[in-house]
Amino acid sequence: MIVGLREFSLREFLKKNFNFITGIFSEIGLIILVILASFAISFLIFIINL
Amino acid sequence: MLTPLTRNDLRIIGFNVSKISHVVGFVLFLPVIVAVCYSEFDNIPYFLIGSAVSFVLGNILYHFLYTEEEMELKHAVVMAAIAWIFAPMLASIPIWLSNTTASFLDASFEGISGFTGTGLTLTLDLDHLSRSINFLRHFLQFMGDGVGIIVISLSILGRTEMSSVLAFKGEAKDVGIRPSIVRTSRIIIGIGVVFLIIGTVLFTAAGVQEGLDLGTAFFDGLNHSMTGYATGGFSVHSQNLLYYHSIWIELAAIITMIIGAFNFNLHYAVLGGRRREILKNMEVRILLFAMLVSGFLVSANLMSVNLYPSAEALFRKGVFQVISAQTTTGFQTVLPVHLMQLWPVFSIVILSLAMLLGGSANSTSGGIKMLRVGVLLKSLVNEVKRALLPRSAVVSGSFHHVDDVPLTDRVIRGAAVVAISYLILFSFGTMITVLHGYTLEDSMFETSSALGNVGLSSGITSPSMPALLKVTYMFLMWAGKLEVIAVFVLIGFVILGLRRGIK
Amino acid sequence: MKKIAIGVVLLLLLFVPSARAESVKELIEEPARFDGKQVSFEGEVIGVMVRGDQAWVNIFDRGASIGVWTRAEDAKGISFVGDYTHRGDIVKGVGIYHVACLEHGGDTDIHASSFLVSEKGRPIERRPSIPLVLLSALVVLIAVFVSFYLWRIRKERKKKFPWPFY
Repeated sequence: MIVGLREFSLREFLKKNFNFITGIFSEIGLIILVILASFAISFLIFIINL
Repeated sequence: MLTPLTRNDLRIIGFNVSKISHVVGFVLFLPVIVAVCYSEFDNIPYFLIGSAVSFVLGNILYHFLYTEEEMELKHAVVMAAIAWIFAPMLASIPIWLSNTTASFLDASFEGISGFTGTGLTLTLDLDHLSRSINFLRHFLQFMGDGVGIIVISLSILGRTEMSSVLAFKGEAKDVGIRPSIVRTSRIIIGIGVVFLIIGTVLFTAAGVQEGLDLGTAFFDGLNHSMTGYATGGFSVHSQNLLYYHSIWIELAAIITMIIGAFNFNLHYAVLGGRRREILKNMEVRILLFAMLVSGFLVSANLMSVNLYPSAEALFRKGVFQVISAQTTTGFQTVLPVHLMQLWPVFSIVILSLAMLLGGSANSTSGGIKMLRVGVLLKSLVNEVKRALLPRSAVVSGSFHHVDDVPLTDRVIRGAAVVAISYLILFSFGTMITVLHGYTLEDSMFETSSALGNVGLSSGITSPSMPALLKVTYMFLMWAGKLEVIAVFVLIGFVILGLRRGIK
Repeated sequence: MKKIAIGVVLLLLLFVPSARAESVKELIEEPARFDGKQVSFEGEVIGVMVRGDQAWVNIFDRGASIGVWTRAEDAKGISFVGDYTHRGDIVKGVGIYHVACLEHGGDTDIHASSFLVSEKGRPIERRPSIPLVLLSALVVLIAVFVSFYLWRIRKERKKKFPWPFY
């Protein structure tokens, strides 16, 4: 038996690193929300000043 | 009672500086790999010389100043202050040898700007710079500010707990993530690598989408990811991010900038499963709130003078510069001379304020830091409450930063002292700049850019800048990186040594 | 007679000085003067990004650079992009200068109406400087020697005194 050779399963990987992966997504997700909010602000200012 | 300085004190400090020297030796060697990849063999001597000098100095210091004694707080703080001059000086060797800058002073400026994650640049012809030297500039920011050279030296050449703790504090990071400092350092490096990879992927994808070939997109992407996460702001080209004329590149930049401006504790908590923290954390709230409010004010101001009369332009110029300022990155999509000549004063003032206030504590950002701003604002509210309530009433409060932290006098005092120190240096820097003939708002802008380790420029920073001003900004960049207090401690240390003599 | 007249006119045209291209530095530093106006530009190509049937060509001219928005075919005619090991093609043309182009989200740019490669670029040879190579070899040798020597001293001391005394 070859020591260290395990079957790689995407499911297992995702399960184990679930917190990590969802953490990254939530951080980037929040930032994207902020981007959208600031774009909305720019848009509003543009509209108001027309 | 302040004890006199002993030779031993200097020995302890010097011995620990040797470790920094070794790390810098490694940092200066890595670009050799880039030089080989791009066949820039004529550049290799620059890095070899810089690296070798660092290793020799490190070895000499290590050998002659070897000690088993632990660092105390005063040693750690002074060591950090020295490290942030010493390391840039070593880095300036390859920069100067390669004629990237006009003089050795300029090369030192570039070195400090790199290590402190500022981003003000004095390079002569960035568009024709060799890839290896350009990589070095960006790598300096990632290692110096993105991760922190003291953090690296701790995690690799780690020592006993106590001295590590204190050196850590000297670099203005708080003990907080995990009990073991060496372990904490490794986590910080890990977080940095993760976001470096994510940032590189985002930038590369955006680059390819916008017409760059994969190789160039990757090289530029890796470099910008390094300086974006480190909230440094060096760029591969002279027009900074304006070179790309691309909203996708700018969005990738915004994501890396804001991630870099988040607290390490926050990243650790969120990536460890505590996702709620991202909404409850006081710093995140204040940072994002400040960004949106400043973004609104600047956009409204720009619109009122009809400078960028479209929603897209207001976002890509107004909001982008605000985010770049608030996170203390320094990526720029408006040419410096246009900031000076075209932007209205109100917006310049808002940007200066944003740069001075800065990003999160315990992150790659500079400035006074949102944590302190939040503490001071809350204590202001409490003071008002105290004035309005009967004398017997007890006013206390707390704020949420990973845990709920009580708002004690000690906490408030700590925040206030640092904030005042920043303001003292801000005034000093502004006055020196004004004396050289620049307008007040531009002086404030450039000063807060240097002090907050931001890197946005209104054009004052240039190779033709007067030497005194260069030195002043180098001092401000250094002091800002150390959150100013460490500079005063160093001065106190020197005065103590001069007064009492060294035993 | 007519032929001679045409000949003379054509000959004279050779001597008409071509309009001096405003330097990119001038354009950038005097936005009010040139904004929205037709300008002539000339510079070294330092970047090309093709986007559909248009392209961005970043040019460098005596210390300043700017992006030129032109047709993709023009960009595809560029052979060398300037960097450390190449001198880029020199391009010149005429176009409208914008300080804050609304079509491009407020970017500073030039929309070219005419664009041509006036001089082809070439590779630049960067030869290592022999004194510097020797110096680096020397410094590396010193570093290795010093490190090894000091390490030996520490080893000897450890042999003599089992615990650190220094």
